[in-house]
Amino acid sequence: MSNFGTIYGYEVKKILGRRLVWAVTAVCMLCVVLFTFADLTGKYYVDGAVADTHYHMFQVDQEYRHALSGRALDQKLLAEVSKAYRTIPDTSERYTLTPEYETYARPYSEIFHLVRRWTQGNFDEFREWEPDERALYAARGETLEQIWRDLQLTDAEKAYWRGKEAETKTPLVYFYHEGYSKILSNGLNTISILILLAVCICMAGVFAEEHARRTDQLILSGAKGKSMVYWAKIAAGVSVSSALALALSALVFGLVFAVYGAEGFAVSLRFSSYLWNSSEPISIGQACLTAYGIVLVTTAVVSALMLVLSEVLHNSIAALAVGVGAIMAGMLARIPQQYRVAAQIWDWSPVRFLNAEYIFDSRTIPLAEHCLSAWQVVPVLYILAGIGVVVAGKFIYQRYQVSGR
Amino acid sequence: MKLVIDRVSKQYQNRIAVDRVSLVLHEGVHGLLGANGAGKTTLMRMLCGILKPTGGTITFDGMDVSEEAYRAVLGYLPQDFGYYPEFRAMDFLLYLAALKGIPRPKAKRRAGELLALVSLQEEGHKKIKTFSGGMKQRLGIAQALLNDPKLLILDEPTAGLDPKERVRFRNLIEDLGRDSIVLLSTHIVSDIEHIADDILMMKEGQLIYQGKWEETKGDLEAFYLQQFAEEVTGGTNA
Repeated sequence: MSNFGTIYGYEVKKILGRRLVWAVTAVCMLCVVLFTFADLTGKYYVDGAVADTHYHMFQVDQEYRHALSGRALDQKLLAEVSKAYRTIPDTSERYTLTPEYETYARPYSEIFHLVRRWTQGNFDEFREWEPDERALYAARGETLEQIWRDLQLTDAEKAYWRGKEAETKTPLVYFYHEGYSKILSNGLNTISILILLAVCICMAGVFAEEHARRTDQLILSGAKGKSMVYWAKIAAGVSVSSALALALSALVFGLVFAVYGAEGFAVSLRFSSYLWNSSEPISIGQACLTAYGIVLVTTAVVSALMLVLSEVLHNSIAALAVGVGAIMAGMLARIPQQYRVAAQIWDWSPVRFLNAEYIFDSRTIPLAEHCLSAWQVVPVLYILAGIGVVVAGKFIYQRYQVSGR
Repeated sequence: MKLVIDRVSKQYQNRIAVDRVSLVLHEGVHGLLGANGAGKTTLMRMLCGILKPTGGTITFDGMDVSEEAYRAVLGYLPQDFGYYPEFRAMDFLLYLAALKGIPRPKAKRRAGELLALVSLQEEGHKKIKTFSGGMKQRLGIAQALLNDPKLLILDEPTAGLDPKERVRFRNLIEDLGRDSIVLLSTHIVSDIEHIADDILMMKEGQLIYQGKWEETKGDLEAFYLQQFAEEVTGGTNA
């Protein structure tokens, strides 16, 4: 009779019985709460005097964005934006401090920033720009071509993305989407670092502590100790890590939606301030679900790697040092884009990949005559690598010898 | 029921911990005597399949030590076993019962019986971190008996027990030896001299004595101490 369920339950209990796990979870949740409200706290100063609060500024902009919601990015809207911004006088001070900006231009600032990104123009160039819907979409294409050249995309990749751009029906329709934008940018960056660190801390001791505590003798001399326990420990570690990732993701979604609103799931990714240059034909809501799905997969795989590392090194501090060291290297080290293959491999490693910029990377993997996007390929590669490492870890675990005590 | 140990050796880089030990053990209590470092624990670890011999074979009724079926009939109390401080005694036994492949309903019943046997029935729902050394040792004895082992290996099982508990434990071992092979290591002669059917003595990794100890041969402790004294003074095997 299989006792896997019972053993799995006790392995989960062992992990959750450690105060460290709860302390790390509490710290992660606190960080998520702080990140959610950080942008809304504090005051906005002009020349040393308080001009406004960040929360009030957000409320005002949110109202203007809601007013634009549902409008097509067409000739009519562009003309309104242009007209509004031309009311701003030439001034030596910041244009955002003028009453004309506050009265006429600010309600269109969301669209103004989008046009500036797509055309790569500055404020003065925009004011002289004749609003032209077709020219705007063409300018986006030219900007993307430049970005693709900088990324050293192949001709096949460029053709692939041109095709994706061409699939998109224009004019695009704007919807308020602040919540999803936050989740995809700050939220993802915050949660990815937190989760990876938490997994390293919580999983580094799962196998190592059995050796340090000398319970390994009892386990390995049991009938199921050399095989089933290994799988039960891996399953317990992976499921606890995944549950942590799920809980933190749910907290991010819940808090952000509560503060910024949940509208805008279907708005095109091209309106995103963070991923405007992505040609993926998906909505910002779909991008969020994809990114957080990848967070879950990566968490599961990284936790499996940490568990195996814990068994290989037989020392929780050493395993933790390797894990945290890898995360730090991922945060600090960057390979220049001109080394295309090396940079792509490095940017797609688990310690860097949990960033919307890389999940929706323009660099692809060619397969036959197709180009596969990072979000399609990398999770599969992670899962395959994870399975390989876990199977190798099983052989190491089985061969462990209790000696020298 | 037969445990066959055939020319089993364990060699580390420049040290032989166990040197070509051969034994055939049947039902009964077998006392393994030897000074610290004689190779008792190394031999027992090899008999439990947690340390691989560098040479030789170990089989129980034809099953190799590396097989799951071998470990299914094995009960083991290590010399320095660990525990989970946050686990309650009952959980500890149920967890180890699951490791031994015992179905949950049977495990619950058996764990209850064993807690009573080692006088811990009142402490079953207390966390192990609150236990004294003797209580932990009794819990360790209980876990070794969970699967009604046919082969019971006890490494220094009386360590930490008070005199009253030692007597109770000796009686328990005597009972278990009727239906199982019990191999009990100690360096305290009184633990085994009255209950062991067979005495094994190790020195410097080698088996220097095997057989029944009869009073006609003299005092077992004196013989044992003589071996130890020879070791200290650099003497040769008896």
